[in-house]
Amino acid sequence: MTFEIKTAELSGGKLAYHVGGAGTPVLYLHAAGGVMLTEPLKALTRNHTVYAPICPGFDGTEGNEGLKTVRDWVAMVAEFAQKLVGERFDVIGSSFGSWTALWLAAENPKMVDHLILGVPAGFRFGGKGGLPADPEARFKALYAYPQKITSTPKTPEVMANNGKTYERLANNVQVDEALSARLPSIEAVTLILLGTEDKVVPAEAGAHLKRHIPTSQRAFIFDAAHSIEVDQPERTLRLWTAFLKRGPGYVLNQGQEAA
Amino acid sequence: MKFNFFHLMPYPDYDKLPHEWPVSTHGIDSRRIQALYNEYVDEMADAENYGFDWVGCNEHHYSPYGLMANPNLIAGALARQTKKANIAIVGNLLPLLNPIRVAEEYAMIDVMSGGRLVAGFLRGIPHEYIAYNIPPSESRSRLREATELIIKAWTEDEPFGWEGEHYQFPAVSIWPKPIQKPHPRILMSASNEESAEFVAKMRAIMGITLIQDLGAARKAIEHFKNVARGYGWEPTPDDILVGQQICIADTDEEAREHMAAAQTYFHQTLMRPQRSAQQLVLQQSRYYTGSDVGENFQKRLATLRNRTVDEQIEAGSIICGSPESVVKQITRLNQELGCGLLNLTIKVGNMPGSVVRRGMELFRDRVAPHVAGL
Repeated sequence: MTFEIKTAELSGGKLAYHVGGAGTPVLYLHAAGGVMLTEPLKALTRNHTVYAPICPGFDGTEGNEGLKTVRDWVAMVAEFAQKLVGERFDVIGSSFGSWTALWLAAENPKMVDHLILGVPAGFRFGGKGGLPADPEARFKALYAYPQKITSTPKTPEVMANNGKTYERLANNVQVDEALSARLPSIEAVTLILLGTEDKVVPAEAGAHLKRHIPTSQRAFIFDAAHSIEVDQPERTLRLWTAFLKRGPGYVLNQGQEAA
Repeated sequence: MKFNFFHLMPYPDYDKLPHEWPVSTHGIDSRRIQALYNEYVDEMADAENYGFDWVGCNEHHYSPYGLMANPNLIAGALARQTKKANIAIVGNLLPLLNPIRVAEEYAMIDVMSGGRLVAGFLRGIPHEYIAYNIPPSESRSRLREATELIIKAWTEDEPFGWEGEHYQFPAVSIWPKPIQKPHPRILMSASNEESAEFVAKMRAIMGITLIQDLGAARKAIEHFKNVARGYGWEPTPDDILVGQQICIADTDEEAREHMAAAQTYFHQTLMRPQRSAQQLVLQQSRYYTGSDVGENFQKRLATLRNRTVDEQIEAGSIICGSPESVVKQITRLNQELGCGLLNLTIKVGNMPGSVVRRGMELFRDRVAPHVAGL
């Protein structure tokens, strides 16, 4: 199943988005590197209609001066979702996208059903983690297996603008204390995914989220750096699909019954 | 009668109400648990000098309910620290484990202890299957196959291979073999009709716990006996083990107070996180092949949780009181159920160690002399 790019007209401006597949809707929120159409994301379209909005300023889209913070972006996503995705749907976030997804779930508790937080940004306790400034070190931090990248490479200009837009929205926040205070109010059943080789998101972030989100589970994906979808696509997809299908019950091995 | 000093090895200091299973270990001090292991193993090692014929523990995972993920490690310590008591592991959860490893570890314990192992082969409680990622729907078939494989591993002198439904081992020859011949006594749960069939077939000791009334327990035991007769043998009292929580104090009032406080912790804290996980397994798998049995299991737990100490004593669910009262209650169990083995949990929930020790003294001096000959 392939994705196509469309544009939505929202109260705060235009919003480009990828959409593909058929089935129950999943909203995918991208990382600071923009949308990567990874193998798990493409596979997800077999059973779901996947919507992946592109934050204005990312991936060559026109910037939006009205977006100054993560919460501004979240408000735009919420409006997009209400208009195009539905009243209630599942959400998958990746890094910065998980930060976005958490705010979305906190501010719209009835909107988010299953919430999957891939390598969630926004909780760098003690300043740990983060992306190195040096491009080579940054690339190594993102990928344990760069040879597994299958999506189209982005130009240096696009990457630079992605970085600038992200920095403006993140505003150098190490720990989003306001969001942290809202975690206990999140109603969505939540799965937190972390890579065992991830040096960008500190392990404490996952533990903090697990401790404070009421109905949450946490899983480590073995032998994956920050880009879990690229480094371990099968493992990532297996967890995504199991959790989206069965929620917290995904921990139960159903053996031959599942076949 | 014979008495097993059974220890759940609970964590007694959990100061929150855990809302989920597995339970977080955030803030738990492992040095405190080191002290608990010492306290508990000392109690168990001393039990043989306090009128107990067996001493043992069992297996649980991921919660303060019990600190013995592998009871064989505790049994290894007991093998050296005890001289005469049988070491009853009640038991290893066979469907979760590598059966060859169980055969080897049990054989080692039997040899180290000079032939004192009672080998519990249990299916476990439903949520434990999540801990080791085993399909609960396969629990019964795994138990059956693992049991037969372990017995084969204990009793076959020449190397052999095993080609089964769940287990395939091309070459098996465990060292050492158990001292007890043909093999150690096996103990299995037969709380319902589904399990009684296999326990009878294996000529194992039948274990029954969570008694909500003596009539139902008697019925389960009679069913087991009838099935055993069909397999050509007649169970004796030594083949029937009944599990009970027990509190013995100097007076009835004191015992009731201690039991009530300890059970509050047991039900509200230790048992609490398991309920939702158990519900998940019961709803989403074929752990029980008959839905009525699953409901029965849940109902029994709820019934016991909601009863007062006096109601539990009256129903035959627990043993609690002064030594004189306890003698009467044990005699009643023996007479009404025909059981020759009692599995007694003295450390209930957060029961203080001093109360446990006083109970052991009273058992030795004023209970055992009156009930050992039953």
